Amino acid sequence: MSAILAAAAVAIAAAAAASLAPVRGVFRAALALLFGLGIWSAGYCVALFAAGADPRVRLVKDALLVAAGTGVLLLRPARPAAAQTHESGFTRSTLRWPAYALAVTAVLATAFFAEHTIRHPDGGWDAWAIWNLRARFLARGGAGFRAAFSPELLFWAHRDYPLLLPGVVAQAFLLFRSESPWVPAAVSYSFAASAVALLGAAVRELRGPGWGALAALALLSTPCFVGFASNQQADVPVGAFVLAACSLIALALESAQPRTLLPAGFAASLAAWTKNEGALYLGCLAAGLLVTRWAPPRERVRGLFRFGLGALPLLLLLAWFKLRVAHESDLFGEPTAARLLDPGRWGELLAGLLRRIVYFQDWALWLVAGIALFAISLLRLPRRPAARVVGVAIALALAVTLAVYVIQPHPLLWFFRASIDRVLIQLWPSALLALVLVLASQPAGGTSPNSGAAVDRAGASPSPQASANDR
Amino acid sequence: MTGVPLRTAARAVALLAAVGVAREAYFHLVSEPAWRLFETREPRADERYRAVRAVLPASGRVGYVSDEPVSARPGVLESDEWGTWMYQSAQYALAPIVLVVGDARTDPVLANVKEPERLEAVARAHGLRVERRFEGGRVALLRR
Repeated sequence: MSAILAAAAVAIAAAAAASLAPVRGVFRAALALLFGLGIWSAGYCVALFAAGADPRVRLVKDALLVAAGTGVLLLRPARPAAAQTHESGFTRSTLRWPAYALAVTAVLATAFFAEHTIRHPDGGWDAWAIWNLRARFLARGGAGFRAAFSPELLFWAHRDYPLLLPGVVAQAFLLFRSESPWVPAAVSYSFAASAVALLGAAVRELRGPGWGALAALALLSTPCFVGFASNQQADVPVGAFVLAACSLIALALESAQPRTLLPAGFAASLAAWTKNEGALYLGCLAAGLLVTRWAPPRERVRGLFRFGLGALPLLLLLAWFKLRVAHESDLFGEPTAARLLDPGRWGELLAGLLRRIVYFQDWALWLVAGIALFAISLLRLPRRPAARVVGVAIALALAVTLAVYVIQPHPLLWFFRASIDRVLIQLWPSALLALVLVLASQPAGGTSPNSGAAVDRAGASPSPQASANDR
Repeated sequence: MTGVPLRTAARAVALLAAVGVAREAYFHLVSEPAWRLFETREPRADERYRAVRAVLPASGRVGYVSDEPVSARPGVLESDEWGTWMYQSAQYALAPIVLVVGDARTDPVLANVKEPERLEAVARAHGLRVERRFEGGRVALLRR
């Protein structure tokens, strides 16, 4: 009974949240899975802290999610007739092999994932020392679940990290009455598969089917993507949520449907509720929306408002969590300006970064190629607003991350080597999206065949986006 | 120039993807051969602590001592991370108990040692006696 109700809660909440985005097919399915798991987990955490760990609390929470989701689905305004996707604007691709190559790579990646999971059933260090540890505390602790945030736990447990991933895994443990390592592995696989499907579908929507398969293939053949997914770490889910936010921002800008910024903000807030870096990415996306000239300033402020409105519910939860439960971070315990102004630390960091770009084991040739293509495209290709917003946000996020590396108290190179690939894999799906948005031509006559109708409905001026897309 | 032709991009992606997948295949076929999966599989932390978990309280604080130093403060790392790894894996296996590093005032105290022959010395150093050994003396319950 509880499992059926939980499945219904995830499915209906997923459908309701995804219905706010004007997308169809695989794009919508991948968004729905991400939104559904995120809402289910956030609802669990709210219920847990507000009403306790009694199983009946989870039942009531799931019933409320079903009711609220059903209400949204019944009461939502009629969608624009956007069922025919943007593909009509594209030249029909004659390239079939990327789709076949993607299918073969997906099978191989699944085999690699399964093999790694059998070999390391508890995942990588971060999985068992942070995420699954927290899930065990929540699932096993009952009324004493707050022990998960005990100050007597060592800083390695990162009790300040938000709870999206442990919330999903803990509920699955409780539902199945089992702590099988296949539970967190299945959760991790779901997030990774969603990221690949979402990237392929979003690029297909924005640039056509051939490009969609290529983008998905690029992500899936990045060696550390499958590695981090099979290590059950939170970096792949963060990357998936940031990608969802970036995809929806791109769709909003290129098809002149500014209301899509609302679910984009929600997606970014799910990243913030997954890991601390997610809050940084949310802030950077907001800054990108504000400073990039994709529309007149007033439109941009309005867009930022929509984005913030979408993010608000989970940002409130995150603020409460940080203020009341977990406010200490090992990274900012002893920040000093001296570290930030030390040229030796910056030199050490930049040397490490340059070496990492050619780190073949984790990235093969992807990082080198990505950076080279980005540099070339900056000089030679048109500056498309959606790509610029995502690109500015990624650049800003990397700049802030480098500053954090310099001021944090751990030995610099040790900390850098232990974490930089995880930071990069969080941003890599969105960087691939931005790269394709720059490299690939937009379809003739604008991205969206129904953009005019959508703009009318949204009450926004169609002119800024329509004219700015290839500026 | 308004964009890169799809076929040009496809050729580049094909090359890069082939290199990427080959790297992954190398890892799974050569570095960690899949056909030796069950020979080289890591023991789970739960296996090491299963017996001691059965006799520990279900929750609460339990002191933790070891023969290996644990990195307990941000920015201050011990020379090797073996002690930290042992502590974290014990914490993972024994949650929701909170293992308190260096606290010998709880009853009982958990000892987790790399070398079983050092167990008695670890207990004596904290004014405790070994009450019960597990895992060949690598894990033990200590009391006053």
